[in-house]
Amino acid sequence: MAVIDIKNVTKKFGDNTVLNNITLELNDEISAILGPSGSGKSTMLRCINGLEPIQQGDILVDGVSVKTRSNLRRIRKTCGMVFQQFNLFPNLDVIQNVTLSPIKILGQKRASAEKHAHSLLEKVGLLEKARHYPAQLSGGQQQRVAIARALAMNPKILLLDEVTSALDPEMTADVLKILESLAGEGTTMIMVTHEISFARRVSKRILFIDQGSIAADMPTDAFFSVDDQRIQKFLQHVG
Amino acid sequence: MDGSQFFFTEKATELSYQDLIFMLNAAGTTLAATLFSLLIGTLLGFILGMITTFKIPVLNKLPYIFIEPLRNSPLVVQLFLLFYGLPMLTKINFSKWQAAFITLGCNTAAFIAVIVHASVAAIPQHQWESAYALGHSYASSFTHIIFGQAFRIFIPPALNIYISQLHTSSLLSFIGFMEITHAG
Ligand SMILES: Nc1ncnc2c1ncn2[C@@H]1O[C@H](COP(=O)(O)OP(=O)(O)O)[C@@H](O)[C@H]1O
Ligand SMILES: [Mg+2]
Repeated sequence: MAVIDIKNVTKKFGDNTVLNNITLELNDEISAILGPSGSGKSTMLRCINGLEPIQQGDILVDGVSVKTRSNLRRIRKTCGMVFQQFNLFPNLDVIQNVTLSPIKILGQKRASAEKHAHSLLEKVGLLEKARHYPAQLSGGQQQRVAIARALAMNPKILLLDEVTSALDPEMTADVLKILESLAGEGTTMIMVTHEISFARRVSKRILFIDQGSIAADMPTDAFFSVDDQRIQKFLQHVG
Repeated sequence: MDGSQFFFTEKATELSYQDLIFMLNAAGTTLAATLFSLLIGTLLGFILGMITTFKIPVLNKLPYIFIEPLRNSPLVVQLFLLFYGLPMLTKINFSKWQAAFITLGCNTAAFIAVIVHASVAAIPQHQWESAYALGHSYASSFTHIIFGQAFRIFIPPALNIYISQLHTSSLLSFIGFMEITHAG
C-alpha cells in the first residue's frame, strides 16, 4: 500500500481550479515536487494533511481518508509538516516548542519528551539554544527548530513546503545539510523546493506540477535528461 | 471652581471621624461589589467573545445581539431600563444595587467580548495551522498555543475597560444612585 494515495483529486478556491484531477501514489522514499510559482504545490501538500479540504476525489494517508474530518488528527500525526515561514510558537521557548505536542497529544512524560527533544536539537545543532525564544533566533535557526518540532511527533512522513525559501544562502545550506542527513537515515520526505541541485542530489523521484496538473512524474535521473520543452524552460528559469 | 471648592471644604469640616469610617466602609463595599461584577462580566464576555471567533455561521453572530446595544448606549440608560423598565414589563424587580451591578457586569461583558474577539483574531492563521499540522484539535490549539499569545494582546484594552468601569461605579455610588432615581 502506498503511504499516500491521491485519487482523482480536484481542489478549487471558488471558481479557481488549483489542483485538476490529480492521481498519484507516494511511497516510502524521497520525492521532490517542482513547478512554477502558483502551480499548486503548497496546496497539494496542504490537501494531504487536510489543512485544505478537497472538492473531488480522495486522499488516503496510510489508508486513512482525509475526507472524514475525524480522521484528520490521526493523519496529521502521520504527516509532519514544515512551513516556509517556520511558524514557531513565539510565546514558547525552543524546548517547549518541541515538547508541547508530544506531551499534549502523544501523552509523553515531560522527562522523556525533553530527552527526545534534546537529541533532536542536537541533531539540528541547536542544543545550546534550548532556552531561547524564537525571536532570539535567526531564520535558519528557527527553521531547524521547526524541523525538530515536526520530528518530535515521530511522523512517518515529513511534508516540507519550500523550507529554505525565506532563508539566505548560508542558512539555506545549514537547513539542507540537516535534511540530507535525515534523508540518509531513511526519513520519508515529500518536499516542495526551488533548490534544484538539492532535489537532484537527495530525491529518488521528481513530480513536476504545472497549472494544477502533474506534468511529469519520473525518477530523478530521467527527469533531468528528459527532452521536454516545459521542463527545460522551468529548469533554465530557476537556475 | 471657587464655589465647589468652598462647598467641599465646608462639608469636610463637618465630617466626624465616624462619618469618615462609614464612607470608607461604603467605598470598600462598592469597590468589592464592582470588582465582583467586573469578574463576572469578564467571564461572560470571554464566553461571548469566544463564540464570535468560531467559524460557525449565524452562531458566531448571535452574541452581537447582546453586545452591540450594551456597547452603544450609555450605562446610565441601561441602568434605568433595568431598574424601572423591567418591573413594568415583567414581575422581576431588582434592588437598586442589584440593578447597578447587573448592569455593570453585562456592560463589561459586552466590551470584554469585543476585546476577546479582536485578541484572538490578531493571532496569525499560520499559528493555528502549525498547531493543527502537529495534530492538535481546535480546543488544544486554543488552550496551548493561541491563548497565551492572545492574552498578551487582551490585557491593555481590558485594563482600560476595568478602569473606566471603576470610575463609573464610584461616580454612581458618590452621587447616590438613590438620589438620581428618587428611589430612596
Ligand atoms: N487560501 C487561498 N485562497 C484562494 N486562493 C488560493 C489560496 N491559496 C492558494 N490559492 C491559489 O492557488 C494557486 C496555487 O497556489 P499555491 O498552491 O500556493 O502555489 P505554489 O505553492 O505552487 O506556489 C494560486 O493561484 C493561488 O493564488
Ligand atoms: Mg507554495
